[in-house]
Amino acid sequence: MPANLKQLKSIKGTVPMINIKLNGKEIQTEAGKTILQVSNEHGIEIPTLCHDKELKPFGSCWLCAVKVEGRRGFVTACGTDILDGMEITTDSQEIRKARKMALELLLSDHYADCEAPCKIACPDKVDVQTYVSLIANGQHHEAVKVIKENLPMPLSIGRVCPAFCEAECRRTIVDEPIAIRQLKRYAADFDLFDDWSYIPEKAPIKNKKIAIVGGGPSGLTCGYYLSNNGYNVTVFESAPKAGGWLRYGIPEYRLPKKILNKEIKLMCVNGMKIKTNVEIGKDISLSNLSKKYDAVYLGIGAQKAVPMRVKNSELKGCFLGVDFLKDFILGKKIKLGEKVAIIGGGNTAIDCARTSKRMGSDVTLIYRRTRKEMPAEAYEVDAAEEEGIKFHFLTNPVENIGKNGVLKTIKLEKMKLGEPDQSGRRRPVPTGEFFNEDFDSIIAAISQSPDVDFLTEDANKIDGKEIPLTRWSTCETPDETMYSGIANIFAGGDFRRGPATAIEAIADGRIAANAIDRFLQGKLNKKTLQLFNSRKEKKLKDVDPNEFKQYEKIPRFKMPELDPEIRCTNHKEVELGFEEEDARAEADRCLECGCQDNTTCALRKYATDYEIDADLFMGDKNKHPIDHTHPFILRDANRCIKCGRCVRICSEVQGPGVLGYIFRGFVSYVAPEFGESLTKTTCESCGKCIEVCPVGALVSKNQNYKLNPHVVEKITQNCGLCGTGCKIDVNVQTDKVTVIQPAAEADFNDRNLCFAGKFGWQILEDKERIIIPYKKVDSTWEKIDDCWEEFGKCMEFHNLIQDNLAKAKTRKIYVSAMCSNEEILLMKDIADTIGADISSLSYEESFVDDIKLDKTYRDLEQAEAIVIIGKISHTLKILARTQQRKGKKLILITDEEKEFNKFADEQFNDSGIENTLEKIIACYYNDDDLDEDCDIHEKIDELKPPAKTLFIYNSDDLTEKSIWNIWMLSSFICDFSSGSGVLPTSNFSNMRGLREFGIKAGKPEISDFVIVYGEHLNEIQRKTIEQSKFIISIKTHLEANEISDIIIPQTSYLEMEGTAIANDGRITTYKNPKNSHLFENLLATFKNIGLLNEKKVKNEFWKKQVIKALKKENKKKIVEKENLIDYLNSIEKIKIESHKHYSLQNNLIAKLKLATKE
Amino acid sequence: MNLQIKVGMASCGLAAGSGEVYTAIEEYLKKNKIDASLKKTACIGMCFAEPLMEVSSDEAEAITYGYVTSEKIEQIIESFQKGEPYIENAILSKRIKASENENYQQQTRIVLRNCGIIDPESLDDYLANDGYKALEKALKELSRKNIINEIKKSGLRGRGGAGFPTGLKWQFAHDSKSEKKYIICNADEGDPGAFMDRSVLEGDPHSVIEGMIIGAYAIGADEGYIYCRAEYPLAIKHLQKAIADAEKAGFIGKKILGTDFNFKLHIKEGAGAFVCGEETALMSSIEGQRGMPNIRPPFPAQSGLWQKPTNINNVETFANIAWIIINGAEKYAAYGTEKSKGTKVFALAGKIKNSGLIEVPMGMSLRDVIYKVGGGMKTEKPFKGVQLGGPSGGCVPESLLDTVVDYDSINKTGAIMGSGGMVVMDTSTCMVDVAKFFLNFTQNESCGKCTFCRIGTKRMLEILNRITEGKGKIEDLDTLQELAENIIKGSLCGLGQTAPNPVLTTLKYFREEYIAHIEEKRCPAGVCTALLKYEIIEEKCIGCTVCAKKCPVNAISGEVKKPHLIDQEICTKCGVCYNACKFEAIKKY
Repeated sequence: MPANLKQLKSIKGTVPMINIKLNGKEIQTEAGKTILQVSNEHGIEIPTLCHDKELKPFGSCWLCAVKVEGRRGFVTACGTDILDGMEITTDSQEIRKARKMALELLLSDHYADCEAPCKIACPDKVDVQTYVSLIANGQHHEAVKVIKENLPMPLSIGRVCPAFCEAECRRTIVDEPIAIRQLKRYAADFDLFDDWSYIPEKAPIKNKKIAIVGGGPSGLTCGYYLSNNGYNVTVFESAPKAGGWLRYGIPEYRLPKKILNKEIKLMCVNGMKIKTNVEIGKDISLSNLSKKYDAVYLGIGAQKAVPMRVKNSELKGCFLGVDFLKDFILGKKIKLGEKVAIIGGGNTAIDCARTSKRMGSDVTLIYRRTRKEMPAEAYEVDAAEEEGIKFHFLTNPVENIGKNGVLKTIKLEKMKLGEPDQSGRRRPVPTGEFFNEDFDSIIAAISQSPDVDFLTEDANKIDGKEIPLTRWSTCETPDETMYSGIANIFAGGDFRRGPATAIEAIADGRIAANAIDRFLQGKLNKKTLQLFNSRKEKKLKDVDPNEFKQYEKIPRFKMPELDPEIRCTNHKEVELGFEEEDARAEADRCLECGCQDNTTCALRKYATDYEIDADLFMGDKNKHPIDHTHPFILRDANRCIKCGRCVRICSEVQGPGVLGYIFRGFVSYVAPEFGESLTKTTCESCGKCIEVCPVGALVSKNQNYKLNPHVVEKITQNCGLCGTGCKIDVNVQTDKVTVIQPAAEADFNDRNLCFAGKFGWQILEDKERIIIPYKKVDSTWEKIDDCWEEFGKCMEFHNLIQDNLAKAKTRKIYVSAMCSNEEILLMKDIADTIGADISSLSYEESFVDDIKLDKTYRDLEQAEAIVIIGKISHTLKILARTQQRKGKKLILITDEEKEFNKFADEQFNDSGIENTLEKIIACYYNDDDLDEDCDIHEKIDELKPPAKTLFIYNSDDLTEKSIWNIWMLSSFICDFSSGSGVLPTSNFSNMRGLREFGIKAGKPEISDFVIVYGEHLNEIQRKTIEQSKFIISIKTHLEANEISDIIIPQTSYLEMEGTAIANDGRITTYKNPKNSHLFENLLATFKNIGLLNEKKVKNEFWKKQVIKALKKENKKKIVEKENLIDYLNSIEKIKIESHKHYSLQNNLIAKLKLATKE
Repeated sequence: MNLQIKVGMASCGLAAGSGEVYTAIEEYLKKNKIDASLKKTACIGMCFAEPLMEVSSDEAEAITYGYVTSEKIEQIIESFQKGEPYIENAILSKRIKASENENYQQQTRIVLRNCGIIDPESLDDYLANDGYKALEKALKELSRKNIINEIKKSGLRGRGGAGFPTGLKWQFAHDSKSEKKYIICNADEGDPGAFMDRSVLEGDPHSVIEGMIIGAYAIGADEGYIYCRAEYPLAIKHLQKAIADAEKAGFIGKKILGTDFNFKLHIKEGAGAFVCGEETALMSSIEGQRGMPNIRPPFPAQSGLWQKPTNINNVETFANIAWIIINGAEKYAAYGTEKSKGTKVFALAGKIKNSGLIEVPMGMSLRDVIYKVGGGMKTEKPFKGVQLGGPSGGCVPESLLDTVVDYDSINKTGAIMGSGGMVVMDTSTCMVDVAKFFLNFTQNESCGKCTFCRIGTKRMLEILNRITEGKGKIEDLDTLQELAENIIKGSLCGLGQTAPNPVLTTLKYFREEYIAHIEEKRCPAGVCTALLKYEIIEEKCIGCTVCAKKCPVNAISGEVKKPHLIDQEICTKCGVCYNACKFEAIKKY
């Protein structure tokens, strides 16, 4: 707000109203707003990338360009204040064109991929990057779930796919492509052989019938998705079994039919029916199907072999590839000769060759071009060669020569390579040079076409109309719908494409399923949203290898195979599959090309909205290596749009100011000083830069998991790592927490979290985390196997505890202030049961215990000055800074050296906090005789702290004396109205709860039986307690000098449903986003020991107990503000020992934070 | 005979060798025991004729000599002493016919009144030429309101480029209520081919300082900054000395001239970013931030340096102030046109005979500036266009040469007055190449903040590159136009808002040249290498073999005494053969 307006406001108390014209409409509104604000208030959306609600207008992206009458050019809506009489246009052809151009320019220099190239390359657009990452994380069922969103046959496709994805895999630039196909097979096999297999949820029944003709991959896929979607699906298959080409074309040694059977069975779980031996045109007619069913999908394939145009192909010993393979699988008797020639260079030719080999023949493959031009996959050709198959390249058969009607010799012509043809391969040219070779069989595997004769019959015409076909007998349906244009008939797969791959057939089936669903809702022609897709390059070969230099070379894991000599004598599956460890290591090689933020990216959204053409402005692109150096923050300058939000938030709000612009003009980019790593700066790793980045240039990293762009579930709850109790969104991918963000639905902490809340929680998922009980055997720690993993097998362990409990004469329980309310009540209950004394070692008795604490975070907003003493939580510091930016005073009393201190209106730091406080107090007490030169005095005089001053301190980090001084100071300055007073904070998430439930500060004692619940003992406490006879610890991590006899895992705030009480008295909640059973297991353990009865083993019971307990009035005598001074003065002896308490988690997180510094 | 000798020792003189000339004179005088005072002065504007020396005596009026070399010193001095002055090198004189007399008389020198005349390092010299009299008058005789009114009446407009009325600007800063205000002199002159500010700072620093002090007093500022690019070391040196002298003499400091007015003045050396000439970026730079422009409003007059009301004027503007205060607004306003008063300094460069610095009254036609003051074209090649206003300006063709020098007339052509750069081009200049040159400059100098400027100018440059390489498409011209329009409309500061001007004006006035590049793959001026072709004219070639011997890629073959042939496949168009042929037997097209 301009200064003069502020004055106006303070005089009149209200902001003056002004009139503007917004898109031709007269509007009366308050002055002092920007065009962007007013437009948004009136429901007009204006795009912007560089504007941030916490920052001053910057005006760099120009997406918010609008026109103001009388102003030259455009103005930025974000940075232009409305004035009386202003006429604003926010939308016009001119404005739209300019915004579109701005986006096109931004994207012309956006060297980044929205989607991973593997996904783009996949005909079925399977989210490869996601499932590979999930395999790397060991989430194999989850991987299969993701695969099955697009591809319902991973068992088969994982075995037979030519892997278009691998051909575009960027890892190829570093070393070799990821073994994507084999990883898919690994996950699918795992899913199949585990206790349960993934079955998608079935949508409500729709009462609509769909007929699918053809039980090949395309038809089955279409049927699968439609049946999942609630349709009644029947598949008609002419052969004895479903599977199509996968069954009758792919040999057993590549795809065991047992596996295929299981796959098809899984596909039918949601109700798809398959009727075999039913042939269209013979047993059923298309017109009838069209009438009886709501929609029909024709996935009839391309089964007819194209005959070879070689003279004398009717001789005995001449076979056609497709028929040969099918007959073999059907178990028909085939009289194959001793010396067999295979004609062709595709996968079918290879399959014929390898099958013939397995039938005992001497096999030669004859191909008219060279090995390089062979359409078959290179690894298949290699496998054939290993099995002893011979090759004649640049050779073509011209005549079969027979004797007595049986093939004897083939006349062959030598070929040479000419100019490239339409397919880009060099055309074979005859040389006129011939030679003869004796063969007694020839298998021609040239090509196939759909078998469509039946379509011309009247019975298969729909209202007299034939399904239109191309000259290759295929049915040309559109890519987006597969709709034939006639009645309710859809068609796809090989019938549409001609002989192609299974994955392409599956893609058609999936698209058809989706289209049929839309068709039946009358929405077939509704345009589907085409998401914009930025790509580094269209082809792998065009990608700049420079940025890949930083990656270590790790060779692709080689799939173990049956020995060639053995395998060519049988039909067993050649590829043996990965072991889990190998699969995870292989998946870990993935470079994660697709953007983690591709579902939330503002640039992508606008590019989609404005239908931009990314190729319009071709030219130079800035290219930077991706910065992986920071353990938690990934920086990809290629994705940066130079909006500077990170730069500005870091320097203006957070403090460190570690990011900046480097260079000028087109080559300028955002990076830490000198383009170095963030780890070399004063970065606090708060992650706020990630929160403000509108694109994916700054994203979170997870130390324990590979992240992916897949949409995840977000569970909103509170952080449980300190007393601040921030609201967070926990991103979960089936039981695993991937990322934690400040809650989107903003709470008091808005977009702020500290290092612990944003990244530090990852210690709870690290390798050291205790998830099953341990017992001490001699002086080492042994996992108690079978216990917890297989519920109820803990007898020995229970007995050990029971025995010791029975023997014990003295019993003690210590509860940490990191525990939830539920855990506290649980332990109180157990203390009652076993007659133990319960207390906490997380704090010491303090005079503050008797003072009524009534300050909340709302008081920050109402205060006129905020005084921060010592180390308080980062979030609260930022909230104070935010208030300062609104005109409040910010005063620091600290000896910490932080960039944040630069914001302070005044900083007091006079040889330690305690001394400083003493001196300040002295200034107030003895105003007259104070030393004239005392600069503290001068500072305070200048400051004039207002009555509405809020003091915030950390009770775990100050001496009792300092705390007393703070309260004393407050009683001089504050009037204790709203915004005035003292807000103590804690390192512990539930210090307030602990006190609320009457857990007293305890003393370490030697006892016969001790339960240490979540407590992190300091040296003195440990030395005493370790002399106890039997110690049970409930904790998240083993510690050095571990003194326990038994350790039981403790749940964290991400693993149980529960509550705590934050610094400001607010109840915070935990929702078990990880779906963990740890707490239930713990309760069960206590029950089995005999400490809990049946009704108390449910989390739910304790939740109710907490609600009941919180309703009870706390009968403690409390000091009100009126008698605060008297109370403070009444305290005769103030303890001088320091209050220094930290939780185990605090310590581990502090260590983790060290990793962010080089 | 008491001789007075002055040598031009500004950057232009020093570059041409005036340092050696100075030493040579010193030695000559000493050796011959000639009673003479030898002084340094700065640039009089005739840079083309440097080194310059002026000789005068108590009896004889001054003669300025150009193209002086150490060898000529004796001749010049001796002849002067004899009263038979050496005419050949005389370029300026009131008593004899000198080569530049006529051109020089066309000028009206207000800003440059002392340049090349006084010793810039001497406060006494400045004081002897009415120095600080204006300050005294302002402080003692005029109220703040009077001063501002006087400047308003003079019609002085900002000489930095945009031409905003200076008096009004001062009024705004004056009206802003604040205990603290700043005044800033923008000396971040960055246009290629422009050196007006440098010459003034080198030649007459006190005039700028005096203007600033008066301005500070008028708006109520007590602190000022001169933001000068570090590439102007001599200017900075002279400024530092001038500020120190002025402090000593009590023109800067506390209670100036016995009044209650205090003023502190600092020099801030800029790191050479063109964008820092933009006032908001300039202030960010002084504050220690990255030089990036900010959204306006708020204007500096409301919230400028350190959020305080600030007034920024350029060097030339300030250099006018003292003259106006002393001579009165009416006298100043007598020069010029209805809306553009006074004079304007131009830096003449390019294919013009008298390259250098000139000052002419507003209202003179471009034709007169070029032909009368500038002496016309340098070679026989005819005039083609003149780039006004540096990289932010535009290219004016022959048909518009009668446009007069005033802000509004020049703006109408699509060019701008700018700070006064004037680059004259003849037919050997390719206009696409010129557009490319200036765009390359602005593109490199963009701070990178605004999308359109950062990426748009780059894409325009790439299109121009393609056109000059013969890879252009006719649709590119529309794309250039669309890009240019959005860059102008969608940029925060003057850099972006004007960067496309050279392209737009050449597209407007020289479109056929673009089309020749695109459709005929031909550069009519023969500049764009990729489109050039060298061919041997059979009739003229005598077979001397020189071209074949010099060709670095052996693209020329032929027998001795027989016409040679250039293999176009091999030729790299380096032009060595063209320059080597003594028989003009090689044509370039």
